[in-house]
Amino acid sequence: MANVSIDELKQLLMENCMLNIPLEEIKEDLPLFGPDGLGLDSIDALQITVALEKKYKATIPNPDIARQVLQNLGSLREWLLRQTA
Amino acid sequence: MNKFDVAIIGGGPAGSAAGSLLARAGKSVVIVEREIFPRFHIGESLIPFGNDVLREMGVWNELENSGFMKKLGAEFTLSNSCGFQRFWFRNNLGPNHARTFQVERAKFDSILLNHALHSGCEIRQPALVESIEWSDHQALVTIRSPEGSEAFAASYVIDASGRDAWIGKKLNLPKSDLGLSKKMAVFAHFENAYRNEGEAEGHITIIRMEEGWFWMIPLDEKKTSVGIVLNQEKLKSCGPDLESRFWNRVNASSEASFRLKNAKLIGDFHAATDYSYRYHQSAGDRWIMAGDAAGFIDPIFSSGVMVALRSGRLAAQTILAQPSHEKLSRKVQARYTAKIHQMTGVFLKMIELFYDNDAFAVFMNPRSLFKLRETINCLVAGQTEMSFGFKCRFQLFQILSWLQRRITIAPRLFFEEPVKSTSSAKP
Repeated sequence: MANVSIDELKQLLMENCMLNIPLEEIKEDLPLFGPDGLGLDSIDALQITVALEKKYKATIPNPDIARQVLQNLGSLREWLLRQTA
Repeated sequence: MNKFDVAIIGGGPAGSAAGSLLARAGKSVVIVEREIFPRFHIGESLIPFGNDVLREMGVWNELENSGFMKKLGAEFTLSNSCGFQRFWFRNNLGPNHARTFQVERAKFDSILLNHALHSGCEIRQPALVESIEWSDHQALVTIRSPEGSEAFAASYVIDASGRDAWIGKKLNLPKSDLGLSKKMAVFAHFENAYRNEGEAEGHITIIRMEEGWFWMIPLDEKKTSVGIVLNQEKLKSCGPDLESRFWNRVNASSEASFRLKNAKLIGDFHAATDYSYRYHQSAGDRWIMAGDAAGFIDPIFSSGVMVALRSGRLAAQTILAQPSHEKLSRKVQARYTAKIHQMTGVFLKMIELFYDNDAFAVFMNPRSLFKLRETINCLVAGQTEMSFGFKCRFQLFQILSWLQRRITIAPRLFFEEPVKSTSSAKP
């Protein structure tokens, strides 16, 4: 995979989660989960995980790793970049 | 005999900062430097709170035009690539602190010392300080150079000799190891190491392993400085020589391997043992310590050059505030010491938190609650003079870290390397 852009990850979020704020307001360091962030829940996490497998063939091995990888779009992007490097 | 207002031992950033500022204020200054410049030195990443001093010295513009890599922030990641925090100075700091530089010290230190020369300092290089005789009204300094010996008098001596700590060792002054364990660093310069895209290309990357860490500092278009810091015993058990120890640890980390996949070594591996220490007293009747000579702390937050510059400036200010060549009073000595200890104290607290896996989990999950993320960003930039609100938030960060050890507030960090999947992602 040559590159993964933040915009394409935003797109992935939009397609798979119920977002209550506009895409432009999602910065790469905004926490995806929790009350002070985007406010996604565990169902969303599952959706994202499945979507990542489908689109990038990248498997998040376990929930602990998932928590770290899915912290924000920046951490997700960096992790994805390394999965096929 | 020559007589100077101030003699400075050492022509690194602390000595050059103090020298430039004193000479520009009309003092006669001599700087005695042991080595011929340019010379290799470790400590290549600056943090923005050193910028003020570089501007005050009048050397900022020259640095801007010297091709140093612009550093806009710092990023922290885990050795298994799972977990990543990138900080941008500009998000929480004003324009003067929005960026700084990554510097190859051979070049940076030469520019600074040369600037001190043009500011009016006399320089003796290469020359060693052989002895200093202290009397009630001055110090008698004897130096030795290839041309022979020279003696001169000085009203004050600034010890900016780095970890040689000339005065501390000669006067056998009491010091503390600050309770930090003995670490060892192995490092080298590489070409073709992985670079971040866009404006993040100048970020310093800290890769945190379960025990220890890597630094990756992009120095210019090609060169990247890479080093590993680990407990001495642990690192020695990783191989017979520096190179094998280094690669042993790189291969154990998917993040480090990824970043060094195509990297080519330039030059040799170096090593440094890091004994953190701090002298109880940073000033005496006619002497002041600046930079590493006053204390050396773990380099994880790139604090070295900033502390050198700021303490160099503080030493100059202290001398400039003295009425005609009088001894530094007990009160002045105590105030200087307190300021130096305060400066390094903030970093010490952060270093403790960094090496504590529970506290680091909070660091890697900075909630926007209570502006924790902003607080960490300011700390990473080197803000050691704290407003009341900032102090409270730093305290809160420490309390959260303490809580984390008892109940999990931030998810614990997992350093395990994912099992390499056998099926490639490519069809």
